[in-house]
Amino acid sequence: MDHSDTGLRAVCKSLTDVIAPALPADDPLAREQLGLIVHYLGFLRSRLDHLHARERFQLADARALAAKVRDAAQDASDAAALESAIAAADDLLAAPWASTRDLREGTARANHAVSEIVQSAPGLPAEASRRIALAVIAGTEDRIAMERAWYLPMGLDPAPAEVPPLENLLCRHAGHHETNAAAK
Amino acid sequence: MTVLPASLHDSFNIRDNPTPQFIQAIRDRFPVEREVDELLTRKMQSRSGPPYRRITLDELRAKLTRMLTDLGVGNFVITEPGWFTGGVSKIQMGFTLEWDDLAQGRRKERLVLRMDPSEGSNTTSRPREYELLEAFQGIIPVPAVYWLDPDGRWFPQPALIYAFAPGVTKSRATQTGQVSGLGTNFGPDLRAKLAPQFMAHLAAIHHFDFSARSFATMDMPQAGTTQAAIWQLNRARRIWEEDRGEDFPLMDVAANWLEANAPKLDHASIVHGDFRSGNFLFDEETGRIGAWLDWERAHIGDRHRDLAWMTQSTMGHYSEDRKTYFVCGLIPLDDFFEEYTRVSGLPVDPDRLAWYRILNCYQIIASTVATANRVARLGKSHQDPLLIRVKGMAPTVERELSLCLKERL
Repeated sequence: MDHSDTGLRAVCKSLTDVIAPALPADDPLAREQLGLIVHYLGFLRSRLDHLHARERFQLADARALAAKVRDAAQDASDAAALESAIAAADDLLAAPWASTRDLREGTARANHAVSEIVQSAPGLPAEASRRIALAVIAGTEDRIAMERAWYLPMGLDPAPAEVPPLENLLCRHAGHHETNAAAK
Repeated sequence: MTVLPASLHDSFNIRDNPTPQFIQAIRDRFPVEREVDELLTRKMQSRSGPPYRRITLDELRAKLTRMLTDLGVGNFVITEPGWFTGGVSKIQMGFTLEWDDLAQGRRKERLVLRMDPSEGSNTTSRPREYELLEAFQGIIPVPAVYWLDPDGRWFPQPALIYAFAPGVTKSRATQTGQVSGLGTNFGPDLRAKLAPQFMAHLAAIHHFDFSARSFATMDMPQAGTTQAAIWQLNRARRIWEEDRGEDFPLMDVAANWLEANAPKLDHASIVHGDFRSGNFLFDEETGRIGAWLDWERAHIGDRHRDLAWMTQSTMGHYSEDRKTYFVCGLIPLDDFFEEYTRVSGLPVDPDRLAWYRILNCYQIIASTVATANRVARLGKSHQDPLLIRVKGMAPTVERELSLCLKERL
């Protein structure tokens, strides 16, 4: 059984109960930073159980974005990198034991392939370039929604009430890889 | 087809230890003002250096003593040194100085030493800040500025010494406001007192006549051209390119749109660059603004940059009934632009405003997603735990960027 949550809880308690009172009164910077550290560790505790699910979400989301851009970018000269990134993402998503590192790398490759298409879009006819831009915007919505929920405990979102639960968002692409694998 | 590195994810780490070729390629791609170019180049050249090491108050006092001695400050005594908290990007020490002033005789004043960390969340110029504080003496409330270490001759990094300005950034009674005073709710009484001053000071900055003055640290963009907009766009793109740890296609879409739609400058103004709640100090009893701080992002350019900045969603807050959005917690958004034009006599162009709103989103994302992570990852600042927190702002700004782009595409 993993005890990371217990470990982080113990560290926070020690920082608050033992370390904080021992800080010199004339060091406000140290006190300010201790508060930030305890807050961040608390945030991390709340996200610990979702870290791997987040990596899978990010890959599935990057794959979905790449597919949207592929459909929008029929005029683009180099769609092969996109196709290859989508296929690699499908393989990883179909592998339940894919490592965090491999998932991350797959996400980076899919996003890179999309970025290359977007960066060359100004050379395309205006309507084609616009189609690609709109596909990227539409394909980024889920990522932004998930990240808003992910960072909600930071307290920096001006409209927290409109953010759906993180668990619901992380499941948004669940099942898509089976559909994609079947289609292949 | 481009040949990809073995690990694309890790390939971004070249920015931890950039080669001269990498630095030069980015400089060539994104021309900016001379001062900004020097600062960003120095940042990249120092990137592979050691992490920030905490400096003690005694060490800072010793360096200050050396500086004042070298500058010939007469019979000085430094007392009561102490840290200032609350800032994100600069190290600040308060101290009391007693000295023989050639003009005023023996005097004693509370001062602030403001110094860069090894690398901060904003790479900005202390000489520029010094020049602007000096220029606006008597125009709007700013602290008197005394001494400058422009290139880290006495201190580990460039530093500035100015008068301590008393006051608060938000009411002691309020619990609202996030990092650095963003989203502060002043309440109805203070709002009524502060809002007219806020507007008058903004108008005074945008109207400031610098025709008879030359600034050593700011280049003058040509009116009637897109130069002002392109300099600011290139600065933001350069920072994203120098600091990022990932590809983010939405940023590429934004860069394409900004480049294709850069507006021409109609009227060259001084742009404060960070004009908002949290950057002015006021007296809680009288509601009088006593000082405008943080001029580090200032430049000569388009006033719409300031207007778009202060109306950005994270800078203000909604009323309790969610019906009214208060710009910087002070002025209802529905009245804001009309009121600005009435006070300043300067028009507000919705197209220019939209362009700068998108640029500002781009800049904030570059800072919170790319720079904050890079700096904290390398342990380069005195506020790394605060830098990792600002990532929490990014999704809100990314959403705003998406919505703004969708409207304009």
